[in-house]
Amino acid sequence: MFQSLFHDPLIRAVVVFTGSLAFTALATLFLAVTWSFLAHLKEERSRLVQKRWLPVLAESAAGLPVHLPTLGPMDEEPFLVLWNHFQESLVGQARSNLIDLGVRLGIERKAKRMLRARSGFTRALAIMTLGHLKDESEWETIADIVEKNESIEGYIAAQALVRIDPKRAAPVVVPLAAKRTFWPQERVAAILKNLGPENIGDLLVRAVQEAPREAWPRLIRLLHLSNREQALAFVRRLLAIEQDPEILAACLVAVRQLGDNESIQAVRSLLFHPSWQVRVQAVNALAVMATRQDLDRLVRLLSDDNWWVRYRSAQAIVWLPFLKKADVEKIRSGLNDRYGRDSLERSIAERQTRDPTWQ
Amino acid sequence: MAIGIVTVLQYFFLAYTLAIGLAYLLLNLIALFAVRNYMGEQRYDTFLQTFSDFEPPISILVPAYNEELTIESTVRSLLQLSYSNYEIIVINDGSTDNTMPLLIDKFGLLRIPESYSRKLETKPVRGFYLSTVYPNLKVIDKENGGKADALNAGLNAAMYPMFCSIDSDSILERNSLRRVIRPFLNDPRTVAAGGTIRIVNGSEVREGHLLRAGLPSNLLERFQIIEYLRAFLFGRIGWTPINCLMVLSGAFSLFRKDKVIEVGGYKTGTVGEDMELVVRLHRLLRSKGEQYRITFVPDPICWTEAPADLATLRKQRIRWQRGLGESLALNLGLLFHPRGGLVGWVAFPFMLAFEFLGPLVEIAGYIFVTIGLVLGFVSYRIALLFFALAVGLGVLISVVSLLIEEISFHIYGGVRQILGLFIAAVLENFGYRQLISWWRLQGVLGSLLGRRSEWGQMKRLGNWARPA
Repeated sequence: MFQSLFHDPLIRAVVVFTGSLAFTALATLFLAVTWSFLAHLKEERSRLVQKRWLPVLAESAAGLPVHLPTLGPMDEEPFLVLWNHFQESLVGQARSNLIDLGVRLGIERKAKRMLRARSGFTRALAIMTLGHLKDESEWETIADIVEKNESIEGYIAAQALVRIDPKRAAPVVVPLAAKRTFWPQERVAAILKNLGPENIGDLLVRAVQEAPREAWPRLIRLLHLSNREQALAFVRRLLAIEQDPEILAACLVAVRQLGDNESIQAVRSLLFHPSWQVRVQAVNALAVMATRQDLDRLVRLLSDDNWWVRYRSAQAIVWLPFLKKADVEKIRSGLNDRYGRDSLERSIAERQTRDPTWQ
Repeated sequence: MAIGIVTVLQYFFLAYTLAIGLAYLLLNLIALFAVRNYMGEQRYDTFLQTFSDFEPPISILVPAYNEELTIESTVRSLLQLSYSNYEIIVINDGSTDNTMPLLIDKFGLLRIPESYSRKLETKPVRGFYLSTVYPNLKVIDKENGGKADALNAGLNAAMYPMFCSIDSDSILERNSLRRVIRPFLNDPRTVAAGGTIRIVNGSEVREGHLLRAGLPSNLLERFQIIEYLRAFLFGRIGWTPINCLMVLSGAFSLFRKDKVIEVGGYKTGTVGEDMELVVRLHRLLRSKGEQYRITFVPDPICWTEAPADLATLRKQRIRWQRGLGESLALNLGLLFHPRGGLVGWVAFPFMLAFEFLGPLVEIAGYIFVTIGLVLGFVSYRIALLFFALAVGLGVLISVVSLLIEEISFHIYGGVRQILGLFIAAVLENFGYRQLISWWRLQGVLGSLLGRRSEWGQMKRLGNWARPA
């Protein structure tokens, strides 16, 4: 009977199919176990490198004399990962001590070799290392990567240029950072912060002016990281002439970030702007620079149509340094508008929770 | 005539079984490439400097209904998240147990006047509380209205432009917010991102944080681990590259608040409010012709307790299937909509034909072939082929998922654990999968008959939540 079964082509197909599936399943299991084993070996090597090098790096960062173990070719990549991590988390002399250690180990040579590697991660590690070592010899290669590579590698290369020579890097990096809208803003901000206002100068203001208008709000919010005088002049000019609510709101954020008390008149003029986004940012900006004569304006805004404007105004009032709790209570009891009173009551309770000594 | 119908049915069941198996296999293969790319990018992440002032602040919404066993542990783990600016809003949805007094006692809550922007209608709020110990912890106490209603109340009170919905029994990794915000920072078109949910059963947890991932000894829980890998992880990642992801788990998802309010918030009276919201976002944003992305973060960043007994698992699966049915029915306009794109023309029909109606066809197939074999109108050859396809492809997909897991996240290391999962991946196809399909079929029927929905409460052991 079984023989006749196997003569049936369909049954044969089912048997072959099931057999193939079973074989594939077992092969997959074998692959999974092998992969897991290899991953375990890699983790183990990384752990060994950490065990051997962590004390050396820590002592070296502290300026203590260290005996250097041999850095084998297989350990180079995990060591550089560790070394770069230390570089990212340290400052000042500790960082310089680690650079000296790196030079003693010849990581500069190793990094230059790795710069031509096929693996993107290995190249990125090399770029980071050269950046931390402030090695200028590969400047052109790294600058080329910044220009041509728009992905993470390009961003890491931009970071490295800034570390090697911020003054020289600024004209290359700032226009690109403004242009590459796909680079996350907090990363662009990190690059600008490393460059410092003295190196950014008017580059960012010029980049904003050259950018399409839809990019302006995003870039204006970064202006506080550039030269204060240049940024202020630009923001004040915009506050005087600009109509676009999004740009105005961004300018008001910049005024607050830059702590520009001289823009108070412009801020006051925008407190009753038709767009609620502008009104909210105007209240936020006024909150840190308000004088006694602004109190009436803030109280009026407690009756605003928009909840956010009411809430931010209430917060601004309760945190005004020249008002005591009794003054705020008096304002609250004088309010006829229910929504305004609710907002102020909530803000009073919030301040009391945060600051139990408030009197 | 009858023979003709039987023949057609035989070929239909065979073709359907083959199609569904191949479709999942394809999704797994797409996921393999997507995960490899993702993991490659993640290697850089620790070196990329960020300026935390520019991290968008996030409101974390934690709806809670009778969660006295786990709520404290959940809130404490949320308070330790590594993120620059976030608030936690626990919404007590009229719990009848000790949830609210426990929150007041453990976190020093102080009732404050209620004032917030009511953009979405909800059941009345009884009180609004601030923690005197943790400035970023707020609690809303409201009348019972269901999970969607609780989330809407949380949305009304949320201060920040992004919100994250999480289940009150979830355990988040410390850097989970940093990871789930990444798609929003990398692509401003992103409106929603979901995190991967993993099963915590069998793992070691201390003070609301996962210390070591492990395997449960209970086979039922192990089957669910395989199922999560196969269907909820790699099945979903596979849809992401083509922006067709239709399910984000309510246990951990991040949304742009303005977009969610624009589409009307969470739909009350549904059981699958998380999925319904995502499908509605697709439908309404597509119909407006807006550019958007709904994406998935494959890292294991959120851990949740899986049912350890059949009765709870049954309830959960019936509820999920009904949720799926409701989500599709409420957004049927997306199906083959001229502006529907790949979502309307590929993902939606797939969900309808394979995910929603799949259990119906699968169970009907098993019954038809078994009865046919007994009564003689289905030949043993066809029956053999049918079972070989149904079980064989199932085993293959589960095992491939296990391989992708090992290649990418490598959560369950060691030969013993892999072997344990492999055995579960094979065994689950002999009974467990069919049982799940049977329960899902009950969910399909419940959905078609329009039975009333309620809070999806699950019997929890909460072993992980107990202090060490």
